[in-house]
Amino acid sequence: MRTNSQLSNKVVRGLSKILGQEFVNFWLEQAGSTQSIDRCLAEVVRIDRETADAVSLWLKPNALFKGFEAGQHVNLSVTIDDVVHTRSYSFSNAPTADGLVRLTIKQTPTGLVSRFAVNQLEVGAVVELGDVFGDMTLAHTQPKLIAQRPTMLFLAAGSGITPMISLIETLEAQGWPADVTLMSWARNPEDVLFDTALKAKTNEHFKYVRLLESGANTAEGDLAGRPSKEQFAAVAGALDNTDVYACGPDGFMTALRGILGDTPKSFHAESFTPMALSIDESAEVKTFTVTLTKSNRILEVSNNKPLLKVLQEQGINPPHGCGMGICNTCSCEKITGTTQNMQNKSVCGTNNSALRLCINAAQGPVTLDL
Amino acid sequence: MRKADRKLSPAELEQFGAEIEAIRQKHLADVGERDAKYITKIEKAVRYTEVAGRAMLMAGIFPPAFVLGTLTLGVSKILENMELGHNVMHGQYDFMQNKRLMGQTYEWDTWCTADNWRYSHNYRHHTFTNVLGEDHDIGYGVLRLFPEQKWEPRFLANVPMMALLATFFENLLALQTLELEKVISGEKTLKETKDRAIPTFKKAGRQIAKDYIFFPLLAGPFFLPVLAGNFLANIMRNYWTFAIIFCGHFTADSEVFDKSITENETQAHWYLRQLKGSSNLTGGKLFHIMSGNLSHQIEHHLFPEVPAHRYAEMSVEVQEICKRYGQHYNKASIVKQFSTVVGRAFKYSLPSFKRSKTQAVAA
Repeated sequence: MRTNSQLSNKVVRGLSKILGQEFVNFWLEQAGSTQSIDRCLAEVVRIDRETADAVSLWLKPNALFKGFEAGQHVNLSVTIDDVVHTRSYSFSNAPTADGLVRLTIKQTPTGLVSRFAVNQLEVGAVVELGDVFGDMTLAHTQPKLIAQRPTMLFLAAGSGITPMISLIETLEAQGWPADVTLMSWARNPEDVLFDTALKAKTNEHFKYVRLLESGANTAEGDLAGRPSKEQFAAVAGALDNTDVYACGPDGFMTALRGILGDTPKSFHAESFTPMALSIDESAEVKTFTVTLTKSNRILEVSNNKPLLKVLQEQGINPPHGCGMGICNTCSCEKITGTTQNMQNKSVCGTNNSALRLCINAAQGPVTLDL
Repeated sequence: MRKADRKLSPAELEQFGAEIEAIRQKHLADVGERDAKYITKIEKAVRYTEVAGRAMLMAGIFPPAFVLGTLTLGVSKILENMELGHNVMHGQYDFMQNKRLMGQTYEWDTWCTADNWRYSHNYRHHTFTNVLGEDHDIGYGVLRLFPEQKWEPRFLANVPMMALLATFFENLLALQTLELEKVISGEKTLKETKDRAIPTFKKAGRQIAKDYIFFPLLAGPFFLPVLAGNFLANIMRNYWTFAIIFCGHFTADSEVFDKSITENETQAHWYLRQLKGSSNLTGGKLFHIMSGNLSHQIEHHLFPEVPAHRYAEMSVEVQEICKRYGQHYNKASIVKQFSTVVGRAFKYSLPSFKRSKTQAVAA
């Protein structure tokens, strides 16, 4: 299998040289192949419906996939109406020998990609996987796992459960070298992802508690309400010897930080709704020039819009993805100039640095390698 | 000759520019699914006709298969170069984020490398359209088409040179982007040229390998008909692209400009210069597609980053503005326009006795 794909990769590379990549890639796509010399394409091999509004996609990536660590996430690109859209999703399985990866996606009312994945994507479709990133991994605790038997607390809200499943499956495969408690928040019982699977995994080293925000239809063992001190006291007790992993929307993460403070031994988090881009309405609107070196263009841009947006308004569409500063697809080299991050307001004047166009605005003349 | 353009006052010129800019903004804001669907269809047409043409040529010992195969492959190459490649390389379809159709990375089916093209065409030609000494497309370094170009004895061969350029347009265009005559005159260093020449020769090698070695060998005993068919398809593409492109800026009413015009040039003035330096071809929908919508050369030069299939609708708006501002909108059939281009080649092969001056486009 491996030699086979290496061989056909050589053929593809050779044909691309003579016939052109554009030609070869077109026909590979027409044939539904995941073969590629430079892109990590993956075939959707199975789709599991998890809840009414969430699915798990089982993907078989091509040989260019470099693997991942439990707890990480990946850029997923799908083509919807001939336009490619990129979003980040957590892996929801432990890394496996057969190379299959699982992404669990919950649809949001306005989410173009999540709605497409949940309602339209079919087995056999080809998608693209991009960079893998995130450091909410077991690397923080792994060296001590056997020697010290750490106590770990996993906190998840909604689809924030996905990286936790990956972590839990990994620990399970290692024979539970740690004592793990998972607290999973959801609105109603039917919204709880992986409920059955998690219940089946519980044992003396793994405790699983559902927390239902609506408080309705709770079963035995469930707690009610949004995150609170009382819930933690009831489930986890003292945390000063506990490694905490948390994933959920921004509001959830802020609530956790308020409740937990710095009592836990360590705190590793991944938030999946980014901070909003804030525009200081009172600030003076200024225009600056942006020079694009590769395309030899000079544009006027204002300081109150992210660079990606102003470029797009001028008909320039560099590679881009989530538009929220998560996926790094729009990152390009800033050769010179000062820019401001519109999420956290930090100003960067470092030359020759990577710049995410979708969340940064010009604060002076800027030169980009575009 | 046509009626002279009305001289625009600075205020009028600004207003003219603002109206053109408004059309651009309107269409840019609307770019989306419709454009993506269109170019996806074009890409399919290119790839399917290419395979169909090449397949027919494999049976090229039968004359009908040879003729049909050659024509189909020629059409495919024309579509690829003009409606797909040229427009994609302008970044018109970057919004799709399809890695195969990104402007910065697309490589097309011709000798000229996409990188050299992006520099000499997207940047030089589009920024300095019809500016003498800046826009290398004026005469492509080998022809004299405007009285403002200095006459040299070599231009006596203008007409045969033009025929040669048309026949081997693909190959000579690739060399043109190297601006070899500037090395001879010392304007460019050998090193500069070498950096651009090496990729060009590599690309040329790949193109030759594809059309004259790989596919002919694939045909086994029918090597020769495939080779001949590929050659003729390339020549057919050369003549067509040459005719369309030369009608874009060298028709009777096209104007050229002096270098000084680009100093402190406003956006509005740039728009007016694009209008005066470009000319359109009239025709049906299929004709526009086969010309890569360069038949709407004026719109292409006003709006190079707007998906080209929109130029037809945009041209209606541009013409209306031109009419109101008393500016000539240069359009005619390809036969009419091309005959004036050939007329220029004849006329300016001889020295001009009255050297007319390049003029400012507005007061």
